[in-house]
Amino acid sequence: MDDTIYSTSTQHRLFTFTPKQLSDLRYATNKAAIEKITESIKRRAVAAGIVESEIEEIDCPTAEEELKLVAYYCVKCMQLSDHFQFPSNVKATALTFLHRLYLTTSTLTLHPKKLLLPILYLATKTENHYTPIKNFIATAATAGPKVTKEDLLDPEFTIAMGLRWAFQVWHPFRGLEGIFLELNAIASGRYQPPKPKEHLVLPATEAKVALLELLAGDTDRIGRAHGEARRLLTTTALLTDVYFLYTPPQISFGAFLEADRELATFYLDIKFPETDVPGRKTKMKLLDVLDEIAKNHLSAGLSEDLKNPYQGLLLQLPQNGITTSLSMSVDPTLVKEVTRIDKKLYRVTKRDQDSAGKKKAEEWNGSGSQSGTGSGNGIGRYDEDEERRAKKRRLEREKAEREGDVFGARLPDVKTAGAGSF
Amino acid sequence: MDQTGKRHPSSFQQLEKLGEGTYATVFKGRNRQTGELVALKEIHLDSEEGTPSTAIREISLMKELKHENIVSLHDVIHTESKLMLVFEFMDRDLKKYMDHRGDRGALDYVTIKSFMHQLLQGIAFCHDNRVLHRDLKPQNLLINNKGMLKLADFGLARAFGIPVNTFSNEVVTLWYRAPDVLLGSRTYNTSIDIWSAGCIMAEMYTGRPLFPGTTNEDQLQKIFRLMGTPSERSWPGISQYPEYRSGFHIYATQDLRMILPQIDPMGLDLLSRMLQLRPEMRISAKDALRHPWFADLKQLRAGIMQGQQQAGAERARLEAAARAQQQQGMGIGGGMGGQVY
Repeated sequence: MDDTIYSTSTQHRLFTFTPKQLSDLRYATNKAAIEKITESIKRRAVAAGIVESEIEEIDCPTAEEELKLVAYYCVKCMQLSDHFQFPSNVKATALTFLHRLYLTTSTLTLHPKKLLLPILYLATKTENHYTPIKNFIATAATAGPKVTKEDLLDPEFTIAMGLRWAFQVWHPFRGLEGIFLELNAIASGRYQPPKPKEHLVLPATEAKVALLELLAGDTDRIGRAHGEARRLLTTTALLTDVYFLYTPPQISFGAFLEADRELATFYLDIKFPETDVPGRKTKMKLLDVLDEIAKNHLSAGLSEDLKNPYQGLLLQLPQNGITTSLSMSVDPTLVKEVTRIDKKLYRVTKRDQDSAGKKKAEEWNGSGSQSGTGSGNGIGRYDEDEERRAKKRRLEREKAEREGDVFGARLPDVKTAGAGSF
Repeated sequence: MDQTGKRHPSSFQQLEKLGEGTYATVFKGRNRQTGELVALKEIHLDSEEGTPSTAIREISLMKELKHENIVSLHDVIHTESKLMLVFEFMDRDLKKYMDHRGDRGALDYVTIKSFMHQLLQGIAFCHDNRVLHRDLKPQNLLINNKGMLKLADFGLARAFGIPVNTFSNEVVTLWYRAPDVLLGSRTYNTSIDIWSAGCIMAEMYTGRPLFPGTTNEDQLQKIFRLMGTPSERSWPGISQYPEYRSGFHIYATQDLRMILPQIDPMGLDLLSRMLQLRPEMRISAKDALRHPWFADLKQLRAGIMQGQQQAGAERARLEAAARAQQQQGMGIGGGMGGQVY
């Protein structure tokens, strides 16, 4: 990839950060949204004649909680995309859109659940994967969510604005193909090094011998490494911050390193031979970055219990209780946590719509459902409302059980995944 | 969030209509605050599919392709039901420029060379970014008063398939379409833009389209009549194309000079490298920019500045120099070079 071209891309100009910048941005977005909603609730309460000092505490999701919630919905989006059987580029673009959107948009402003299908639909347009809207709606319905054309199209401009109308995403799995074409070329003795370094690099025949020695008869190894690196790039990588922190070729190599360290190192030795002194320095620097990507972000061994290499920063890491894999997303503890955050978010946004900005926590007593919305008519009718709501909740729960969970019902584990909240 | 999307369409005064595109109407506009002229491309929103994917693709590409020979997208603004792309204003398109400035449409030598160089620079930049324009034609090349040429209308760029008819029944012109595409190729690449560039170069010399076909078949026939009908021998694999017919009328290859008597030998060499029937034989945009025909461009442009009288003499001298240089430089010319002399 030509670096000068990447450096002018919107991905680099608008969506590349240091870990600290990325973390700061997330905190700032959360802070601004909290201030806005707090002020709005207070204003309504005061207008309704409530003394400011008597306004009940306004409990908003923290930045950490918001990120957990978004990460969870990213997994849901990935499952939805797989349900549609969309190609990797559509899936990856949709996921990238979600991550980018929630850098500057708070879940307090826009709930991710409503955006999953519109974003997927937008990603099909961006990636030229034409899907007639009728078919899209029909396929969505087989996964659970009932959507209308309006549900899909109305948020389009809001999403586009949140993305600053930058739709082009550079995906690392494209560059990965190049790496493996070259490896196969080396294996068959056809490797041609780039012109100025020709004299420094091993001749094709020697490179071939060295590679075959490494493979030791295991001819499938290149294919396996390719498959595993590609799997990492089309799953885990899309649930982490790597797109924000690294360039696409770095991410491709990082995945290769994680997939097969020995083979990746061999490849780098061919590209940056010992005889090439400046090249060797570049290689050492590059390896540091690749190691960071592999060990800190893509490794399957990452878990909440490991030491966090980015102490104090709000990044998408398992150490921060963030889902970075499909298997992690069905962990009951995590699902419970996300459900709790979702309820909190629901309460505060609902309260913002209430004319007096009143807290209506009672709706949630002993309830696991988000559907008991009530009409906000005041305390006097509480008992009656509560009864009606309980009935509605029961009916909806039964309906949900009949039809399967709204998002990702086809996954075997979903039933344990706290069906109530999605 | 930045300014994008916050500005309202009313920030622009809408002036006359400049054209009706396939999925948009373009107006001249004026920024009420700064007075700056712009081109406002109003996208027709589709009630069925929302923002058309062509618009999404165009915005997507234009946000990335920042180059002096590609028209620049300043802003995207919208209301609930309207989407408007704000582009830099260009005075006219190449078609109108030729009608207006040319001698019965034909342009002068220095202008052609300058425009071709800018066209190829724009194309090379697109191709470097892995973008095919796919719809290059004089109407999509915009010219400003400084003599700058910029590529515009990326609505079809890299979209899947090339439609013959658009939604509005407007026929997408076939005149600049490469023979491999006409033969039904689905694996075409950057070389299709080079074919279009070649057609445009010839048109700048004569003022008339080189291959003004009316149907797919007629378009192929017009191409074969000049370039010769290809066969398995001259183009291995041609019979595998979906639109290939064994009954194509057999034409012999004509000399391009027959229809372009005014072209200089080096220009002819470049042109024939662009108008290769076989896509893999066509020169790349990068290589075309290194072609010796462009060697004197800087001096020619400087020559214009010096005033006409001087320029005349200068040009004669330069052309002589160029001819001499060409004879030396023909080494890279290869096959075609021999035929030129």
